[in-house]
Order: sequence, then structure tokens, then C-alpha cells
Amino acid sequence: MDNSKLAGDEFWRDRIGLIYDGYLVQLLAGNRNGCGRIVSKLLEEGIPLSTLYLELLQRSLYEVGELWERNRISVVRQHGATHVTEYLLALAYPRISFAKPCDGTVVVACIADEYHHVGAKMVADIFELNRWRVHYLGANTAQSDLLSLLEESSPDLLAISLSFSSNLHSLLASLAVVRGTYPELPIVVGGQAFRHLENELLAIVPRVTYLASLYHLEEYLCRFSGESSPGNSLRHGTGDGP
Amino acid sequence: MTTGMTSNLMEHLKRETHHLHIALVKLPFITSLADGSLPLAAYVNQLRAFATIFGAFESAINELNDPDLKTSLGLEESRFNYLLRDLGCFGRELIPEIAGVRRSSVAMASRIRLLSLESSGGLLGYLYVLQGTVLGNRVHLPDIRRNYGVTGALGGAFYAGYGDRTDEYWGGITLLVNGAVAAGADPGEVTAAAREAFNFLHEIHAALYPLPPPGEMSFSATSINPEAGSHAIPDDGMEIRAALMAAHTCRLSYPYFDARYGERGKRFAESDAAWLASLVHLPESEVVAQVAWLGGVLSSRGMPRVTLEHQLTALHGVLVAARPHRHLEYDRLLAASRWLKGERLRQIPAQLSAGIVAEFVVASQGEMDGLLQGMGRLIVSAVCDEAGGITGAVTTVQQWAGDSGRFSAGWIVAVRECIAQARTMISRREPGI
Ligand code: B12
Ligand code: HEM
Repeated sequence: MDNSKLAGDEFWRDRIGLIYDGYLVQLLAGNRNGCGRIVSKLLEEGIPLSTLYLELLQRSLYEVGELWERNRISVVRQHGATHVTEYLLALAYPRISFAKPCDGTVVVACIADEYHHVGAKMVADIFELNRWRVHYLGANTAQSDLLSLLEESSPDLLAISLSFSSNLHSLLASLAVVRGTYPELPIVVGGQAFRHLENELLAIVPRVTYLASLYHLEEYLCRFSGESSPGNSLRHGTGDGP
Repeated sequence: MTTGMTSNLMEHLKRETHHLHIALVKLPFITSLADGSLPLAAYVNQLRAFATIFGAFESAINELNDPDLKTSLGLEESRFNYLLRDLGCFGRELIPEIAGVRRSSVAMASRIRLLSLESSGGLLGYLYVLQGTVLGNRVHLPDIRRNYGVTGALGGAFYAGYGDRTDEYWGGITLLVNGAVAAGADPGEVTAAAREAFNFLHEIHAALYPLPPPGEMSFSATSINPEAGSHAIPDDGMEIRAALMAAHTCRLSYPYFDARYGERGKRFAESDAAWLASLVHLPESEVVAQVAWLGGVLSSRGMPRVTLEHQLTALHGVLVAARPHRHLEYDRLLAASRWLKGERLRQIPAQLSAGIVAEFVVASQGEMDGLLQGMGRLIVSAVCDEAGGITGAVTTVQQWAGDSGRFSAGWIVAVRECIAQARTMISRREPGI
């Protein structure tokens, strides 16, 4: 990462530091208009999407999860906070849809029995922002549906999000099936389930890359387009130019 | 908009959803129920789907911010409880779930939660459709009785519904719905929500029967406990049975569970045990990490970690006895149990903790003559959990065990003493570390 980006990150982190507590209160109250105002303001100020997602939306939902874990809030409040966050993602979406898609195609999915899909949606947005054509399969995608979409869309990349570690076993099973049919398809995975597990996973299925955050994803996408070659159908990389 | 729509919303709803109702009752699920050919698995999965939906619906109503609406919607007994009671009758049959049904019912429940935050009119539309089932169920109660050999109290409680009070109840709903318009509800919003609810139920009933091929039926936590988030459990019937057995053992060793948490506690003990059994596929370090997480969640809700420690040992025992060749995998559960034990003993060594428990047993008249056997261990464990960073571990136990409405003064003093002693042990040890 270059220095100006780091300085920019610093700026936005401080900016979010100032509003975070107020935002969390609104989020816990399920007040989507209150949260919406805060987020609209940040968007107007030009906050980078990945920073907004990571430093505000993700951070606050993690905190909500911790409050639930420690029995400080009810599960209903947790649901409320999640719904508000999903609304905020929709609010931020116009920032993305202006981007012209290139020929890079990605399928973003959560496997069967994985109901956490906010992270996956953010990942899909980051792809789109980087001008990928995105097929987004939300929570709890049946393996057969995933396979038929892969067949239909022949993507350049498959991205899978996993939050709940006890689903890891079924993820590995799914990946093995995908690998059987698509031996060359690059696969990236991410999400909280891998916090302690990345190495073990990488050892099991070939050509699977674990990406620890949206920032890592952005870096990966830069490299991916840089490496794109005639053998790779990602023809235009991320640039607009000829 | 016709004036009829606003003056008699109920009539309007009926008219506007009439075709959806017809389409629903023509589904093979309903026709087979009537002709006696509907398999038990389809019936049980219908109850599960409704349990997921009514669980969300009733808790949405309970959490409503508008007190008037809350009282008016909180009419009559909880049908969610009827559903739980019915499902309890089939728990041992190990009937797998239908993926499509689970997907749609989870989606419908999630929609209800959203409406509860944003649209009381929408919630009213769902109320109309969901509670409208009391009318159709009444028609089919005899089929349920005949097909599955159940009674209106056990196994058929959801269909029996409000029994003789049904018409009176529906009269109340009619007043409520019509009155809501006067109170400002938007009839268009109510109607749209009612249509949506019918569509969800259509999707669910279409997926229920004919049953899908066995490959599309599997177990999840909601097969055991409709309130559990649908997380993984083993697909091996033996492992599920082992988990149920371990949960049972644990409840027997700590009557506190049943006394405090009742039936709901039993269901969570069972689904949590099944989840634990599903972890054996993960590397040992991850099993420990997951157990550490669950230990924190449970302890901060009044279930100190020593119970999890015992449950894991019990589960390991049953699993290894049944499938000795898989002991390497099952041993990961034992490792997690040892980890918990290590955490506990790190706070208060075994001998000292046994001393405190022994004093509690004397002071509490043998833990109330055995009625609350194990209470001393639980209290000491809660103190260790708290010292290990689980805030609130002691407070939640004390809220119940120190409740003067429930217990004698002597018992409460014994509880307080026990906590104080255990805390002293910890503070004495701390400077040494
Ligand atoms: C909301 C929520 C739910 C909702 C989800 C609804 C929805 N619309 O998604 C519901 C109610 C369904 C739910 C259910 C459950 N949940 Co929940 N849930 C949460 C909560 C509070 C927020 C999740 C979230 O959106 N986080 C914010 C997103 C943005 O973060 P993220 O997912 O990590 O994604 C980011 C990165 O990881 C990364 N990333 C993610 N995927 C990928 C993929 C790629 C390719 C890349 C590059 C990057 C990447 O980028 C994202 C953006 O920065 C978390 C708390 C937490 N710590 O997250 C608990 C949490 C995840 N849930 C938890 C649990 C236990 C459950 C249940 C088992 C509860 C139960 N007993 O009923 C069920 C399981 C359901 C299932 N089978 O999946 C635990 C998991 C702990 C564990 N043992 O692993 C948590 C951590 C709560 C806690 N503190 O205890 N949950
Ligand atoms: C999940 C399935 C069902 C749903 C959601 C549902 C919903 C409803 C609703 C909302 C009403 C109220 C109509 C009104 O008076 O405004 C109703 C009434 C009724 N339903 Fe159903 N129903 C279901 C299944 C059935 C079935 C299987 C039957 C069987 C024949 C049935 C028979 C009836 C009858 C007889 C009435 C009363 C009609 C009247 O009084 O005019 N329903 N139902």
C-alpha cells in the first residue's frame, strides 16, 4: 500500500472514531434513519467504500455480536442491527453501480447452512466497484444451485464467505466437488470462520486463497488483473483505458 | 380505493386473498392430509416450519414498541407453545428436515422480524394469515388425530388451537383488524403483507409434499429445537442420539437446569449437544476455540462452564462406546473438556473447590435434600468463569439462586457465602501470579 493511502486510512479512521459511539447507539435502537443520515454524510464526504464497510459497518456488527455473546442485548436487537446494516448497504450501492463492468466475472456465495451473508454482500460490492461482473448468491446456497450457476456463468473466480466455523466441514466438501469439475478455477475464501484455520484449509484444496479482509481483497484484485493474460478471460483488467 | 376497504378491512382482506387461499388448500399437502396418505415426515416438517414462523411472530409482537398494539395482538395463548409441545411428541423419531421448507420458513421468519421493526401494518397482515390458520386447522384436526394417532392435547395441539373459543377469537381478530384502520393503519400495506404471507406459506406447503428425495432431507439443529438458529448437527442418527443422551445425563446431574429453564432449557441442551457432536470433524484447536466460545455464551446466561465440561465428557463416552474406531476424532471433545477443566482449576484448585462445595452442601441442607444437587459446583464454577473474564457469570446465577421469592433465607445466605468464599480463594491466589 502506498503512503498516501495509509494517510487517507488514518484520516477516515479518525473521522469514524468521532461518530462511532453515536452510530452504535442508533444501530442498537434499530434506527435506520439515524444510521442512514450518518452514513449518507460519510458518503458525501467521499469515504472509500471498503473503509466504510470495514471500519464502521463491520466493526459495529462485531460489537453487536459480542454484546449478544455476553448476554447484554437480546437476539431481537441483533436482528434489528443487521437489518439496518443491510439497508445501509443498499444506501451505499449507487456509489457502485456507476462503475462499468469489464469481462471479469465472479460468483460470490455462501454455502448451504451458512446464513450470515452481510460479509458476502460487501465482498460482492467490492468486486463490482472494481468493475467485475458479479453473480451474487446470498445465504444458504444449495450445492446444486452453486454448481448450476458455475456452469451457466463460467466465472473467472469463485469467492466464498464463511462465518460459522462448524460449517467448515461442508465447505471443504463443496470445494472438493467444485474442484472436481473445475480443476483450474481460482477460488478465494474469507470470513470469520477462518480466523484460526487458514493454513489447514489451504493445505487441503489446491488453488484456494484465503483473504483476511476487504483490503486484502482489493490488493488481490489488483494483482489478479495485473497477471491477467490471454489464457485468462479477464481481458480488460481494472483500467478504463484502451 | 373503495370505502369498503377502509370500513371493513377484514372483508377486503378476505376478498383480496381468496384466490391465494384456494390455491393453498388445493396443494397436494392438504389433499393428502384429508385422504390419509400424508406421511408423518411431512406433518412434522409442517410443524417445524410453523414453529420457526410463530417463534419469530410471537417474539416480534412481544418486543413491539407500541404498547396498545402489543396488548391487542397479544390475544390468547401462544400457538408457538402448542407447536413446541407437539414437536416434543415426535422428537425421538429422528425425522430429517426438508431443505426447501427450512429455507422458506427461515426467510419468512426473517421478514416478520423486519416488519416488526418497520411496519406494524405489515405485521397485521401476517397476523391475519397466520392466525387465520386456526379456522382451517379446526377442519383438519380429525385427520391429524386419525393419521398420526395423536390427541388434541399432545401431538395435535396446534391443530386443536383454541378449540371452542375459536369463533370468539376470530371475532376479536376481526374487531382488531377493522379497528386498526381507524387507528391509522394503511389498508394497502396490510393487504400486501397478507398476500406476501400467503405466498410464503404456499411455497412452504408446496415444498413439504410430495417429500423430496432422501438426499435433500437432512438434520439440522432446528430438527431438534425449532428455536435454535439452523446450525449444523451430525447427520449420523447414532451421533444425534448420543448427543440427546449426553444432554439428558447433564440435566440429571444438575437439576438446576430443569428447575430454572424448564422445557426450553431441555431443547437448547439437546441442540447444543448435537452441535458439539458435529464439531468432531474440525481440527482439535478449532474444537477448543468453538467450545470456549459456547462456554462464554452459556455461562453469561446462567449456565456455568462446568456443565459444558461434563456434557463433553459424557458425550465423548457415549460416542466412543458406540463407534470405538472413531475415537481419534471423538477425543477432540475430550480435549475441549480438559481445556475447560484447566481453565477452572487455574482459578481455584480442585481441593479447595471441593472444600467450598462441601461447606455449601452442609449449609444448604444437602443442597435442599438433593433437589438442587450440584448447585455448589455450579456456583464455584460461575465464580471461576467470572475470574476468567466472563462478566456476569455470577450475577446471572445469583439472580435465580438468590431470589427470595423462590428460596428460604437460609439457602440464600448459603449461596452468598459460597460465592464470597470462592471469590476469596481467587483474590488470595492472584498476587502470586
Ligand atoms: C447478524 C448475525 C447473524 C444473523 C445473520 C443474518 C444476515 N443477514 O447475515 C443470523 C440471525 C442469521 C445469525 C445466525 C447465527 N449466528 Co450469527 N451473527 C451475526 C453477527 C451479529 C453479525 C454478522 C455480520 O454480518 N458481521 C459483519 C460482516 C460484515 O462481517 P464478516 O461476516 O466477518 O465479513 C467481513 C470479513 O470477514 C470479510 N469477509 C467475509 N467473507 C469473505 C469472503 C471473501 C472471499 C473475502 C475476501 C472476505 C470476506 O469481509 C467482510 C467485510 O469486511 C455476528 C457477529 C460477528 N462477529 O460478526 C454473529 C455471529 C457470526 N453468529 C454467531 C452464531 C453462533 C450464530 C448462530 C449459531 C446462532 C444461533 N445459535 O442461532 C446462527 C448460525 C446460523 C448459520 N447456520 O449460519 C457467532 C459465531 C461464533 C462461532 N461459534 O463461530 C457470532 C460471531 C456471534 C457471537 N459473537 O457469538 N447470526
Ligand atoms: C396454511 C394454510 C392456511 C392458511 C394460511 C389459511 C388462512 C386462512 C385465513 C387467513 C382465513 C380467514 C378468512 C377470513 O374469514 O377472512 C381462513 C379461513 C378459513 N380457512 Fe384457511 N388457511 C389455511 C388452510 C386451510 C385449510 C387446509 C382449510 C381446509 C379446508 C381451510 C379452511 C378454511 C375455512 C373453512 C375458513 C373459514 C372461511 C369462512 O369463514 O368464510 N384453510 N384461512
